[in-house]
This record gives sequence, structure tokens and C-alpha cells, in this order.
Amino acid sequence: MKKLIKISGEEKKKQKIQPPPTKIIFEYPSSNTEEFIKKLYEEMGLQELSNGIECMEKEVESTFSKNLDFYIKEEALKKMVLHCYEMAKERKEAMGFLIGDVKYWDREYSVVYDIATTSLDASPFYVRFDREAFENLFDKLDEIEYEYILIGWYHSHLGYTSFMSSIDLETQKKYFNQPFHAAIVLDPIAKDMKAFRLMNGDCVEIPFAIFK
Amino acid sequence: MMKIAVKDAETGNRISMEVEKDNTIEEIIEEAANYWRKDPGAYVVRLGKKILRGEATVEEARLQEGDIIELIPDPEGG
Repeated sequence: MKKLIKISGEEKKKQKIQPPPTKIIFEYPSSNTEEFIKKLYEEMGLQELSNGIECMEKEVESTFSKNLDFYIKEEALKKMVLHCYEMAKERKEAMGFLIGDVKYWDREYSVVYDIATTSLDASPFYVRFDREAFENLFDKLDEIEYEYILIGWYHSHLGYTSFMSSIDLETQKKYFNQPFHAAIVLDPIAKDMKAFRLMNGDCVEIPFAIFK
Repeated sequence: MMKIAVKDAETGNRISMEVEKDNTIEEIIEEAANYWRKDPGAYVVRLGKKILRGEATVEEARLQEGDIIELIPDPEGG
């Protein structure tokens, strides 16, 4: 007979009350993403890539939200860019978690401080974590010295720009369906990056800011 | 009876539970997933560096009083 399990209570993670980052170095959509990524490549000593592939994905419809409540630390962005770039050289998609926190000032906002990833089971059109590589991912999560939240996930496209496909939307609905969650789609070949979230079950492109 | 916690990595929230040594990990995750209205089969369950198998009991998984098991998403992108 199944033994009863008793839930004795829930401890909700408390939101820190703190103003959003101020040292903004890039803001989307008011600045040009292609130029910004090009500048990042120069800083990181990366050559531009030109091995794009024909798009096999169908873009899901999205609207655009005007409220800025998604911030990404420059170091996290650089790690993400490098990961997507290195995987693109092998003609494979990249993917990982966005690690951070949800805070409150005059509104709720989320901040990405880092990323966590591991070996991937990837092709030019598909990506997931390698079934044998979770231990490495757990190691990276254990290295984080604060009470993290998975703010969302990132993955790459190979030269056909940044958008959410139906499989991406399924992932968003299944795991990252809270108002603070986000998905970043980064195209290291087209030098494009967009962020999305779910609002009332619909896919919405959102503004974002990169800070130092 | 033993007290453990389940952490939802997507929100940072935790629930405390009282479990028996012959409860399975699957039962624990089902309970947590029902509470949070999640799909219980969609997650990788970890205790530290170890993935916990659904069919393992609390005893077999060597869960200890105060342990925190965590639900980790398993995203797919295209």
C-alpha cells in the first residue's frame, strides 16, 4: 500500500528589494544588436562566422512588450556568446540555463548573473542536454554561492536569426512559465539576439539590458 | 518518518515533506509536482551530484533527514 507523504509547508523564495542595475552598456530594442555583438566579437578576439544554414524552423507568432524588466550581466552574456559561437563552428545549436535572481523595486524584474551548461545532444536544428552529462551541470549549479533561480534558458540558431519555434515554446510553457522567466535566442552567425517570455500563455518578445 | 525538502529550481521555492523510508522518489516528485501544478515526468531530480531514479525508495536513494532534492528542467530547443 502506498504510504502517505505529508507536505508540511512551503517556503517561498523572498524577493530582494533593490533598484535595477544602472551601469547599462546596451539596451534592446533602442540600440543595434548586430553592431553590439560585432563589438563583443572584437573584444573577445572572435572572427565573424559565415556558415549559416537554411532555416527549417517555423517561427511562432509573438508580440512585443515595452516594459524593461530583464537584465543580463555582461559576463554572463559573453559566456553565452562564446558557447553559441563555439557550437556554431561545429554547426550545432547551443543551450544552457540562465542563472540569476528575481528582485523588486517599483516592479518585479529578473537579473541573469551567469549561465550553466554541459555537454549537449545537438544538431543544426535541435538541442538538449546530453543524458550522460547532468552530473557536470549539477557541479556548475553547486558552484553558485547564492540561492539561485533558473531565470530561463538560452539556445542558439545558426544563421536564420532569433525567434521562438514551436519546440522552444513548448519548453517555455513546460518549465519557464512564470512572469519573470525568459528565453534568449542568440544567433552567432547573423549576430542577432532576442528575448522572449510567456504572457497569458502567448509568446512575447521583451526588451532587455546588458549591464557591467 | 523523515523530513526532507523539495526545491523548485525555476522559482527557488521549497516544500517540506514528511516521507517514509519505503516511499519512492516518484511518489515524492508526484506530490511536489501536484502541489506546484507541474508535469512530474518532465524533470530530472537531483540530490547533490546524483540523479535520483523514480523507482528508488527513500532508503535505496539514501535520503537523510534534512536533505534537499531539486527539480531540474530538461529543456529542448529547435
